[in-house]
Amino acid sequence: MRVPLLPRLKAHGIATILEGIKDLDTTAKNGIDILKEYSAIKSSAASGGTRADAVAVDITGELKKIAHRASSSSAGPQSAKALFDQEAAIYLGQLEELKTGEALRDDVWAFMTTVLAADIVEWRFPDNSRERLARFSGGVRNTFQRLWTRGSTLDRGEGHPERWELVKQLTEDAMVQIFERASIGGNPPLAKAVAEGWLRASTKFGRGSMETIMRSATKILRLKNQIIDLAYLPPNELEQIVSEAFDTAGTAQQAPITPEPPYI
Amino acid sequence: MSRIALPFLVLPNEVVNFGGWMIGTPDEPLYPASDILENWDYEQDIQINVHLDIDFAAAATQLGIDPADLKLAAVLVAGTGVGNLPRRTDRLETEVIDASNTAVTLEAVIPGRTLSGQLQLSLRIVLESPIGSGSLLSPKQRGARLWQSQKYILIEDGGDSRFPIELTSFSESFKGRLEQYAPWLVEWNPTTLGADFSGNVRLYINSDIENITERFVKGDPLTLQAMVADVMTQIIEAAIEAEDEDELARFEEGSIGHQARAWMDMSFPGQGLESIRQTYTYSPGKFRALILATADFGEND
Repeated sequence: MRVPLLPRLKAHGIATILEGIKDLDTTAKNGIDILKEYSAIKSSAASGGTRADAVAVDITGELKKIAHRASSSSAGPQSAKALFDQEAAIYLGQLEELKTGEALRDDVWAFMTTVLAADIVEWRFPDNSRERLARFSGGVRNTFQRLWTRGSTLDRGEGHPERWELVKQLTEDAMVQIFERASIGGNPPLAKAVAEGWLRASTKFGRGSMETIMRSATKILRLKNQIIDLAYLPPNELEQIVSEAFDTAGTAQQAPITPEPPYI
Repeated sequence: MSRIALPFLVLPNEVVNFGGWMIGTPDEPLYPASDILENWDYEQDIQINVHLDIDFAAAATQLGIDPADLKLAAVLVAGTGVGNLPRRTDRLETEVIDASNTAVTLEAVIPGRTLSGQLQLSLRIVLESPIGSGSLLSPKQRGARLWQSQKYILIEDGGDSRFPIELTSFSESFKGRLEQYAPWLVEWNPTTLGADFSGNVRLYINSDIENITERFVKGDPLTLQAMVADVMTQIIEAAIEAEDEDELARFEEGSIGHQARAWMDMSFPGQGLESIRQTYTYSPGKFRALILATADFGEND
């Protein structure tokens, strides 16, 4: 398969669209109409594959279906959003069309998010905070790009009985700790090992205490990775080092705070 | 190496003879890597070759480990994606270095389709064994980072400045329409001159016509000249409909309108908008011939 060249949206295009986002009703128009409307700010690779605007339309179309299923489920609003994240990560992570350098480009995700599926972003991240732009622009916080990274990295592989357990079990906080740290998130064997470590530790220490434990464990592992090439290690040794980091962090979390001795 | 003070002995550059980064197209002669790899796109795989020659006795002394026990590993890693830290890194190749094998060559072909924006290459020497041996300051853990060289290469500059061109089957793309018999077709919309050029202009070559496909693939200069001139003519003809020079001047760099202006300057040097319009209206043959002549780009003798 030749590389599907996906439509791209540069930073000025994102700003232009977000300014007029209230007028942008992406639910009422089909993807092709939207593509025509925004053709002036769309770009794509000059060569190296086949121009594939329709692929982006199809992907966002499927994401809308996943969002619709999640939002109409009986789960509460927060659970519905978590369900969307899981299902969308599993969908995006398996797409052949995204197993290319195109999926590493921020402007490709910016186009899908801002032009083709702004309505999902508005539903998934309704707050009007400083984060809003990051949910539309490409990058680790982009609404869909973050899910693609999770799905493609945390896949245990076809045939695994619990293939998507990591995607389904890790909390949003755990995902952020892994994928917003480029030294971990950009290193697939390490990212997956940390995710597996989180899962084991959550059974041992309880999910409730995992936020603090995860922060400490990732600090330990990032430091270790500076002096040891963790991705070089055979899987069993990497697993052991990751487990030790979580154990150290978990034990410190559970240790009773000793009052300072009185000053004599 | 890095700015981190490692808590164990490492290898100084003096004991590592590194031949530098060699890069190129697979099965073609490689050349020393520069900071930019031009004319790359997803269809071009990249071959990397590095050679290391270690002064092994000196390395063992530096690390405080018996040379008979010491095993090092040379690891070639490639990262890609824009940013200071790569979006994705992959280990390409590993070679063990020991007393009987002190010189290693690591070679790998990176599929072009997996790359994005830049290539961040890293060659590391890490400790393989012994574990927990040597002096107090010797490295003691497998994978301990002992030496590193990095090279960042921008790989997409060329891609962005390439002419947007694609080989495709017209009998599939334009099924049942007369266009399917054309050797090429320029797809673009003349009402959006402010649009990005690379995203909104595309020259499709008809892969059903064997003769034209062969000429295109081989880069036949006259064929390419005729194709590019067709694109230029269409776009210049739309651009001269502009109200005045100011309207043309307002098009941003990278837009179709900006490209039209650049082509007008090349084809009709020193002429203003009105003069070009006159040539178009009263000497259409000359108008097209001037553009055709410019589309040569020095390829024809």
